[in-house]
Amino acid sequence: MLDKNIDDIIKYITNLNGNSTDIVNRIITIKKKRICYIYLESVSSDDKISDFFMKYISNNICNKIMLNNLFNELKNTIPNSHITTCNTYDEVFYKLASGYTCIFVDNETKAIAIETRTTLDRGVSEATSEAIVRGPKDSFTENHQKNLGLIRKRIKDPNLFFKDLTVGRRTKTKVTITYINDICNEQMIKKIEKQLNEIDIDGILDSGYIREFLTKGEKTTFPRLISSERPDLACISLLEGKAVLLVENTPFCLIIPGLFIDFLHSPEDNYQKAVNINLTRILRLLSFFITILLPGLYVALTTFNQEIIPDELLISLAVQRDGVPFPTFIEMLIMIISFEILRESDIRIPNASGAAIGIVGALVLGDAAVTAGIVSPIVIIIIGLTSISGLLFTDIDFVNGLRWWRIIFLFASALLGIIGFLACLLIFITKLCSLEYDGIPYLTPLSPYYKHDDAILRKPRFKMFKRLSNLTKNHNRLGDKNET
Amino acid sequence: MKHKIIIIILMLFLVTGCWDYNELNKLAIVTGMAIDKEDDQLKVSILISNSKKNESINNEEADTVIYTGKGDSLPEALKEISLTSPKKLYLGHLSVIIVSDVLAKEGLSNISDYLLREPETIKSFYMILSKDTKAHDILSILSPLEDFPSQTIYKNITTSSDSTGLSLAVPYTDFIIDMLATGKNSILPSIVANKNISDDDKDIKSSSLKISNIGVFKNDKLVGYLSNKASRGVSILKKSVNQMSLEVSCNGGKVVTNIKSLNSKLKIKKDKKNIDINVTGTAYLKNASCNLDLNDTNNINKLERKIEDSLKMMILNSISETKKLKSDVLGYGELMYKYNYEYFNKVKNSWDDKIYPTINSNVNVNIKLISNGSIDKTIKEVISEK
Repeated sequence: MLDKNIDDIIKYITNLNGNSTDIVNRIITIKKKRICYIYLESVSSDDKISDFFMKYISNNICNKIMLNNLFNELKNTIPNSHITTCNTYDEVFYKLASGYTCIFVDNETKAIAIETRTTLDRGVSEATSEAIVRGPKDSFTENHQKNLGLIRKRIKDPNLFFKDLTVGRRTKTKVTITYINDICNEQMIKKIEKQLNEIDIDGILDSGYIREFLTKGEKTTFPRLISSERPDLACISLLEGKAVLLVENTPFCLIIPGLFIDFLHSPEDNYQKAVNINLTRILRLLSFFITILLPGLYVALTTFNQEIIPDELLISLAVQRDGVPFPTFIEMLIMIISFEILRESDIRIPNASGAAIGIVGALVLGDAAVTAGIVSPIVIIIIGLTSISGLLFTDIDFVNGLRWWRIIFLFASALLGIIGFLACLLIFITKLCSLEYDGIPYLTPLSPYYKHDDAILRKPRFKMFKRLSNLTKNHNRLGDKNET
Repeated sequence: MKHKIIIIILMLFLVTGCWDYNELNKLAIVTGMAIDKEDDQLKVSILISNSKKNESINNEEADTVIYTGKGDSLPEALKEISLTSPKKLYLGHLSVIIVSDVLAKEGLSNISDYLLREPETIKSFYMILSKDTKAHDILSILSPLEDFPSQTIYKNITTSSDSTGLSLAVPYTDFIIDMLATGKNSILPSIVANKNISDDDKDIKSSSLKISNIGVFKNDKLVGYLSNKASRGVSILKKSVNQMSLEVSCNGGKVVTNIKSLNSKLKIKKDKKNIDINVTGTAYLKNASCNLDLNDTNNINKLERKIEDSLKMMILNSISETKKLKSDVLGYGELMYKYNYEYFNKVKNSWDDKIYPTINSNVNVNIKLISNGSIDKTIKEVISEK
């Protein structure tokens, strides 16, 4: 309940906020009745307040004979589409922080909140983390409303549902579950909702926070949710029967669930010819294995099982290794670590000094390291190939997850040679097969195998009839007419 | 407890190197080996392909070096070599072993045992006899075409086996299997140095290697060499020829043909005295330097007969020569063993010496000349018609 006296209200709210400097309040007296409005100037737009409130009061109310019920008069006639009433101080403050202006009338225990938010974010710009050549170029922004709009304008189906939740004790972040009602499995939505409601944290600053709560208790390096800043990918996923979480102030949405094959796909795959994209898909699968296995395989073969290597190659490798002081395993580890350092610094460094990184990377870690006799040239080639293959995938969590397995394979190979390598491969495949999200196996539809139109290879669009059957309740992608 | 286990696992990585662990640069990769007999001892020379970096030409190019050691047996000689070599000898990539024929005449069972028993050695290398030359010298002849000599020899022997049929590449496993099989004897190709080798290094470099005739073994001992014709006959019967070129005479000129897809079948007749040999194949005309109308089917048939005759001669030659050496390299005994087990067991001991030379072979060759090449007439014919 709010206080009846306006002075008390002002005193209470300013005290609640520790007399912060961005609180603005003003008391107006109309026909001996006092009304007061409060807003936070850091999140509100002065123009809007003048337009919607001040002008209105000066033009209309002052000329009219005011009725006894000033509160209802104001509530019904202020020209603003976002008008709500607040009953508690908590609500009032949430509205103030969201950029609303709250109006209090003497002797009333309610407050009117009108939307006077200022735009504090950039416009819709091109996606930077998931670049594509052909396809829509827009990306999600920090503005929640815009993000919802980017999805809504693509899918005009009334079955596209937005369900809002507020997470975070202090940040009170809005999280919207987006799904297409007649495709998506309700069980999954209910589970997500339950999980979101259980989150008790002081702040959510990015969808990454939510992601960790949703995948609580998992023991794997592989991501099981896709995070993407592309609205087209979000819409593709929605049409596939997945749910999309949009978190306020985050340009990255979460797509639930993320399956293994989704990380081998790119939204661009859907915009190009199926025949051509299939070659790219095969390359992606190949580089998935290269990036994990190659360093381990090299160490296993050259230090334990030299018989497998052909004569000429072995001699060439042996001559290259002449004079290198470290064991192959250490050599490989040095290169892997230095590449990761290079990559990390390249991400952090401002663009202006990016050229320096290129020189250091190419010369110092490549050519000079070989000339100095610290590593052999073939190791540079191996690490180069491994690293490039690893960067083929757009999802940063997937790329970073592969990194761990690369090192695990390297260790296993250095310990037991080809036997260790194969044992590790067995563990790796078993691990992948055992993962699941809400009963959906991670490797669907590869294992357990069933025929799917868009697994490793993609059929032409007009032949893609069915969605994943264990994900959706409505399997038909194409209409009945096409299915003959 | 959990921490202890993790620490123990982490420590395991530090002790890599106890089991089968070898760094490449600590290995001396042996690609070729030559075994001679000297002063009643084995003189073993090994060719190491990754001795040091050849800075002057190319960083990645390998330099070869030959180490020599002596001993009563192969492992003893290798042990002596390992005293001089700074790296661990690694026999996993051995591609060629050259055995001097002096040693082969005394028997190869001594060295064969080690090569078969030692798990580290690869079993698919090629064994070659060095005819009239020391095996060590063959190994040290560097071919200007190849990076390392063992590869030269290896390629020489496989290409000649594939294309001319003059010789035959025999992997070590085949050699041993034939040696140990009942009713069969093994053969090995031989190699000679083209020039007499003196001690002068220059001479060694300028001389080159040439594949020579097939050597015939009886059990583990070399008993003799086949002639050129007989060598080709054996190759045909052993089905190791992909294609061979053959010259036949015609109307005062010569016709060169290329014979492909040769296939041979051996069959024992009921009387156990006769063996039918059926050879089929196709021929392609390569060069005709005589006046002959090639559009005439009679002429083609005549040519085919001539090719068949000359192939038949090769085969008969090879049979008669092996009969003279009293060594059944074609596997007649094996056939007999499969055909009539009881009879073979009775004559097993005297098979090579007494029974094999008395067996009669009926050779039947069927060759089809299927292509004249890109032109129909011979050049000579066209000129004479002008």
